[in-house]
Amino acid sequence: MPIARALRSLLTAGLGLLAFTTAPVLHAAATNEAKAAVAAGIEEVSAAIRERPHQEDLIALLDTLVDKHFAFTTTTRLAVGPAWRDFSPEQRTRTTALFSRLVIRTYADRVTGDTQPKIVYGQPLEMKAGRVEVPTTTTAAGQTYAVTYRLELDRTTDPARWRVYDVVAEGVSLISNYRSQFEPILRKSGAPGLIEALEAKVAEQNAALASAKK
Amino acid sequence: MHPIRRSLAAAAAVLALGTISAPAQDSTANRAIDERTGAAPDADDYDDYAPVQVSDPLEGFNRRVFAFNDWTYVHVFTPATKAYETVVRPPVNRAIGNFFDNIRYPVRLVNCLLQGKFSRADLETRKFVVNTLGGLGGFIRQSDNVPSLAQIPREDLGQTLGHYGVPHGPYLVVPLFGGYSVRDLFGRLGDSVVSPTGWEYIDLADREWVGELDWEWQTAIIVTDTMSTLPDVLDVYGQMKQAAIDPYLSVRDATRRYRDAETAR
Repeated sequence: MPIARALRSLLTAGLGLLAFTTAPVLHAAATNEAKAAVAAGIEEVSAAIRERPHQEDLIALLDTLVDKHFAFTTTTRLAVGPAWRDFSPEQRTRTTALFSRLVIRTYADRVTGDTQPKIVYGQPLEMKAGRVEVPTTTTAAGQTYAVTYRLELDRTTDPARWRVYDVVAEGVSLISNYRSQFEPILRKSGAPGLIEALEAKVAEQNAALASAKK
Repeated sequence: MHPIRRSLAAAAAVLALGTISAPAQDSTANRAIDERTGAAPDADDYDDYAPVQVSDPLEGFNRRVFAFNDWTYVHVFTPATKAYETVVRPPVNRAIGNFFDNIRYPVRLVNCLLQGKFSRADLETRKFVVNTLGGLGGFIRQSDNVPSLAQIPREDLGQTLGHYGVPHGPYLVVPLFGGYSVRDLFGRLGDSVVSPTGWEYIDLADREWVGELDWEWQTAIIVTDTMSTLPDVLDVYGQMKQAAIDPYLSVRDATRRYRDAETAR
């Protein structure tokens, strides 16, 4: 089944994503620095996982790291699409919180001590001012995937920082994949419908987590 | 003439005439956007992520088959896989998977050649020799230790058709097998004519050069071949379902984008 590879690469991208969330500021010109930074990041995450084996603690830890290195507002805005213009500030905050929880939890599920991806960096490409994509070759569990990270420059902090806003694994973009799912919901019932759907999904994950603990 | 061969011949004729034009594919990554950098950050970058248009006229039917497949994956295939893995341990199963992948070399070779990718055809041939001779008949993927052979993009007939501009056509969810565009499904059937494991789909009687096999052997081959990839497929599908708001759309979008990226390589 061809889809298997695509799906698996998406999940592997998730592992890389977590490595990225702990990586210090990445600059397009400094690929060697980035490589070293991500290697350090992977080590940091692995150590954290070894020390905090419980899923809930791990998610809490990742929550704190995510804002530093992941531009989830941009991810959410692009996954929602043009309908974002009609979202109220409260709806935007709520959607971002729910969506980031969903994504982090999904990927945290995949992270165990023995699944450390090997990442080889390609030449970064400037997509436009303040947006860069970093292609990588990621190897995990004997399989190799083309995974591209898209980063944007966050100028609200001093110094400005690069944060990941999308991951494209084997041609499948995280943002695009969710946007294709959000679109019919937004068309049918707008922001409240999407928030409701996200709440239901997160509740479903909570229930699964609770039953797994028993 | 076998019906599948006949339709292949028809497709070849269409390709030769070059009458099918490629649908305009928008690359989200490389568009010229410099003139827009002055705009507010959230003004007009939504187009970068415009959803792919997947033709899905049978969505209602497809969703029912998807639900049926989902039920089968959870209640039949997953327990079956678990039972199978107690007998055939995962490392052995991986070796079996390598073997079946290796003997499908003719499929990759033919499609490299059909697309005029001759250096890739050469690499595929080297890989086949390395794994067959150096990897105990293909059970060990020795080629992973040779950098130039470790990541050869796999070609198949669906990609060859895409390469020549044949559009995807409607999306179909096939019972037990999952989602394909008509083009890729047709490609898969066409590939099985060339594949040594093609008897999964095509009556052996039409392939004299292979000879007749007892049904017990055929069944054993189909089961070991399927089981060599099934655990991975089920694991990934389960994770995908867990992450998705609407698993049907998530899988449909991922399938299309993955195939388009594969075809472009």
